[in-house]
Amino acid sequence: MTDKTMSKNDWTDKLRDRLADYEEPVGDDLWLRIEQEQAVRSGKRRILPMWQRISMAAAVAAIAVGGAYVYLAPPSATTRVETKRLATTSHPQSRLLQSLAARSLSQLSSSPQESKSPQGSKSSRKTKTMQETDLLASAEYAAPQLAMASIEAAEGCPLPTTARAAAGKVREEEDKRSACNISTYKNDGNGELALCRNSRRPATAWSINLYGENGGMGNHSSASQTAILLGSGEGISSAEALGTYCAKRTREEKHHSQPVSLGLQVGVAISPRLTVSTGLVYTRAFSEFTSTLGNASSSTTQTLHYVGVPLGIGVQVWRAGKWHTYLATGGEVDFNVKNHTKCDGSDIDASRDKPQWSVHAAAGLQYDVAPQVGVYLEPGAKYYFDNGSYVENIFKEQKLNFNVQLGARWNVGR
Amino acid sequence: MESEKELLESIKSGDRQALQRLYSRYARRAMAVGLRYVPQRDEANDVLQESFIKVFASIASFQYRGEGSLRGWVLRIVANEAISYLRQRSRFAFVDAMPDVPDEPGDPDVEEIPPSVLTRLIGELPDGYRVVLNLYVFGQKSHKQIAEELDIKEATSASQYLRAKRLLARKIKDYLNDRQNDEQE
Repeated sequence: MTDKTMSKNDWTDKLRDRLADYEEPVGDDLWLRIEQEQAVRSGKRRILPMWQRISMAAAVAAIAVGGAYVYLAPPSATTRVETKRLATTSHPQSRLLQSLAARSLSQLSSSPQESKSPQGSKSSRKTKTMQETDLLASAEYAAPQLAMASIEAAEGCPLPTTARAAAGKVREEEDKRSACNISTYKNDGNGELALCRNSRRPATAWSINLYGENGGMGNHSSASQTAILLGSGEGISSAEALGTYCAKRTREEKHHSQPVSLGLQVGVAISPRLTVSTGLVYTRAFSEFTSTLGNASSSTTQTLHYVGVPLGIGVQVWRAGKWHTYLATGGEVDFNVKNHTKCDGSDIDASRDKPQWSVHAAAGLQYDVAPQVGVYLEPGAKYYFDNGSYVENIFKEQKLNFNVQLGARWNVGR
Repeated sequence: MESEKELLESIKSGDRQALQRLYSRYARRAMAVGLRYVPQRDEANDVLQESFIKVFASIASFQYRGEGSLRGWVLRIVANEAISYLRQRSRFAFVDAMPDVPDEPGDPDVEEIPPSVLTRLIGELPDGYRVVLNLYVFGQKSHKQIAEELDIKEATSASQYLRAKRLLARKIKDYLNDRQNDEQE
């Protein structure tokens, strides 16, 4: 080497000037790669702790169920009795009915009284005293079955068996009818009899069901021949470098297993045929990626764990004995609480997926093995919305997913 | 075209499209710088990816110092990232085992060489030569600063630069001779 004082004023200045504004073309995929990597790193920073996610899901479920309970809470013991029309039949139990009707009247302190006569206009000016008189008269002449049903509801205590059976028949008849409050009731041989009927809502029925669910369309696989982005570096020794190494390799083959779910739901019957339900569900989605570069291959496995909150509505369609069918639809949001990814057997730091929204529709068949317990099979379809994340999984590859749900349902309050 | 100051204001106000405008404005220039350090395009892509992620992550704290300061900052990040890339892959070799290149008379006619060829010729230099040449010529750093940055002796930096300069000069002259011969044929 020659010791020399080098001047900066030489041809290298021209070299610098020559390349000062020089630009090289850039591939179209580079921006996409930058966006993806940025999203991955941004996703890591925004991740909520698992306990917060579970707490959020539980809070939503509790609010939904609690709100439904408050809204659909059964009425108090005091019932309203509406007199629609008087009949003229008599019955041996009329005195008992009169006394019980009088007791019923004493409980009607705040309930409005409506009274109509078949003739119309005069009934609108009836005072409360006159309405009470009408009620006593109707109790005297009401058909025994109807009176029993009314009395039992007013008293809140069971009547003797025969009377209860008759009242039960009335209740069953009432349940068969639609939502209108007025109904007529045939009396034996004495023409139509207006119903002295309690206007009340049906008792709230709850159900709890535990189920398992799996996709029914088999696994999803795909292969691609995109350009290899692997750097030609050497000496990778740390897990982080390994992760970077694996992330940069093109995934040539992808294999997504169908997701498996376990759920616990609580349902509230808002009408005899309609049920609203919510709860918590755990879902596991497994994927495997294999890439080959020359004679070398790399295998990456990814297990995504989700905790979700479903919200659904079910409509009973048909019932015969212990069998009944129903239609169900609803939505669900699943939070990815853990992403366990391994590359060639080593754990790597991988970002979690964004919340996954889905909607579903299904038809169910249930068999009641006991009066309050049934087992059901519910094949259906689920559609997963694109959540915009770059975590590859079955929900992105196969947005429309057919599944089968198998579970047990316990009916409370029937 | 919006000024760097306007672009920065858009970015700092949360305009995500402004980040893409920043990328679009400087990506090709950054690639030219990256290829001078890391001549293989796949590797240069990796360097640029990491560089722009770092640019986006730290742009909120960037202090604007006039038109051109943003570009200079972005290109410095690219150069630093390229050096880190080479370090991680243990590709630095500051050895004097290579035969000394004799100093040839006359300066090479750089202006006759297309920029793309110049970039390629710089890329053909050994790693150590190439890094020092880039830092000295294009980064305009002193040998002392280069030595501190690369954790080498100042004399080694000077030596590497001298060898790089001579070797590059020969490559340029060889290229011109080959081109002249091709034209004559």
